[in-house]
Amino acid sequence: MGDTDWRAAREAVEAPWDELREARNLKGVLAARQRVRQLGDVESASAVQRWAVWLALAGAVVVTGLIVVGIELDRDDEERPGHAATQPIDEEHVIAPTNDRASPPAETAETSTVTLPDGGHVRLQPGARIELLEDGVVQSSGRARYMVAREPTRPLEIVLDKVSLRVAAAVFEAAIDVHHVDLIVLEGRVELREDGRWVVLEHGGEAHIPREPHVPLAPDEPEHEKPRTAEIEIPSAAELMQRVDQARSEGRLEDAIVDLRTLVEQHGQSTYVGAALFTLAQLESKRGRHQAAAAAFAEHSRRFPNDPLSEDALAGAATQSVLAGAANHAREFAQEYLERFPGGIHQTRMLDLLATN
Amino acid sequence: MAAIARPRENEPTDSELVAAILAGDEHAFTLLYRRHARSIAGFVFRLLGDSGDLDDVMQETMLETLRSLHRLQDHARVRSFMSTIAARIVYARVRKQKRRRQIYELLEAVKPGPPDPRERERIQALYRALWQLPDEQRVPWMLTCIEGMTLDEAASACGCSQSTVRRRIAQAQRRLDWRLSRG
Repeated sequence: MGDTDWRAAREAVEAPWDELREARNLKGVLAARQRVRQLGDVESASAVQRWAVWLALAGAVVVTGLIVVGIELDRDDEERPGHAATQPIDEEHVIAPTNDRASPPAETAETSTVTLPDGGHVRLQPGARIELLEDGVVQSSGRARYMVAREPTRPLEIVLDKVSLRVAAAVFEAAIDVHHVDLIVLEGRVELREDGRWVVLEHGGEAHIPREPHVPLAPDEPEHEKPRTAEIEIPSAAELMQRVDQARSEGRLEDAIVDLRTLVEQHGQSTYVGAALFTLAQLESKRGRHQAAAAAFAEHSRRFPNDPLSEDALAGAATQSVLAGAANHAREFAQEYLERFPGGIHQTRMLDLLATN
Repeated sequence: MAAIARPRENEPTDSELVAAILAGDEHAFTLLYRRHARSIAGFVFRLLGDSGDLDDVMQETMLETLRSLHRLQDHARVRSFMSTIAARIVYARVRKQKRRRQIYELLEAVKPGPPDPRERERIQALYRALWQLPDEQRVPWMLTCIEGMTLDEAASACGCSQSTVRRRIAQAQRRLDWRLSRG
């Protein structure tokens, strides 16, 4: 290679960057930008505001410390003169039904702290059970206090039983019992998926969500004789999405399609569903199944009208419908596109489509 | 980066898009992103050596671009501006990492170059030799010699002076010449 031939090294390498990856990345950027706007740009906050925040935090720490000391003193009083070993706390007093937010979980021998993927922490009360995933946390039982340090551009995903949360830089407590999932936000904000949309809980916000009824086993049925179907575990949405990426990178598109369909069907409330539908549509299109691609694009556009990819999905639905021979549907999608996205990036293509179909 | 994306006929230029973004036009950013994302991704991939952090770096780059776009004086140079931001992010990352990055993915991605099929091997040898250099030398050398950045841009990306960058590039060049001459 000659001295001046280095450019060949640039042109010879093609990054593993396709249209799907680009679309998903753009979606992430736009969503992060929106969240940053909603949270307010910390960098542009005035010094006075920053000082106010620090003072408030310092005040909260002092008050919390005083209360902890108070609780310990009370307990000492109760335990005298026997000075018994520390007892496990009554969980109902951690997030009390009266919502005494100032009562922090007391340390017990069985309380443990786990480091989250983002560097934050979660303090587990006795009986609490969580599972750490690569990019999130699943809590299946018990009570826990989360201190999430994640940057606002990349919220941590937490699933409480079947309730999905997105959290960035917040402190909150979550409790799962037989009948309910309870949540209280102590600092920052938490986004909660409810009825297919995201609800924001700010500082002091609470949620009390009934769990799906639990079907008890027959009284004489031993625990180990549960029906086998109950033991089949469906991978989480995050796991399925990882499998999809792996399958795509290895060219196993059909496997990826199967996993994407499983994700959409089994994790209908997951935050991954939008990306899954869009990816599914693209893969079906690559396989030449234009009707299925159009259906997936259309479903994405219908279910996620405010998603950054909605514009592409609607245009995709129109284009794929043409290829599937469904000109009427194609026209409907194209007209809807022009109404919803006047001046959109696919405008010319949609106008052409209407003119020729 | 086989080719830098350029606007098609009737499409707004980069300058127009930047002006529109600064005026609050959301759609303009999508257009700008679509125009340059692929080439910036290629640039990041070559610097990183694998695609593990590619999405993170791309998102960080785009968000930082949006945050600091008002500082860009010549709007037509927005792609170069984005590259400098991306390089800065990559450089900060690679310096923090304790483990040495693997470059199998990068070597695998090198396409055979017509008309000489041996070109692929030579380019792979270059990348292998580059990955034996310290990052402080490798990154400035790649930015200037492969990616075509100016010394000023490379210095900005690496957070050091032009003279430091020049010295590191010279050191890198000497080592590369030595390694490549040994086959």
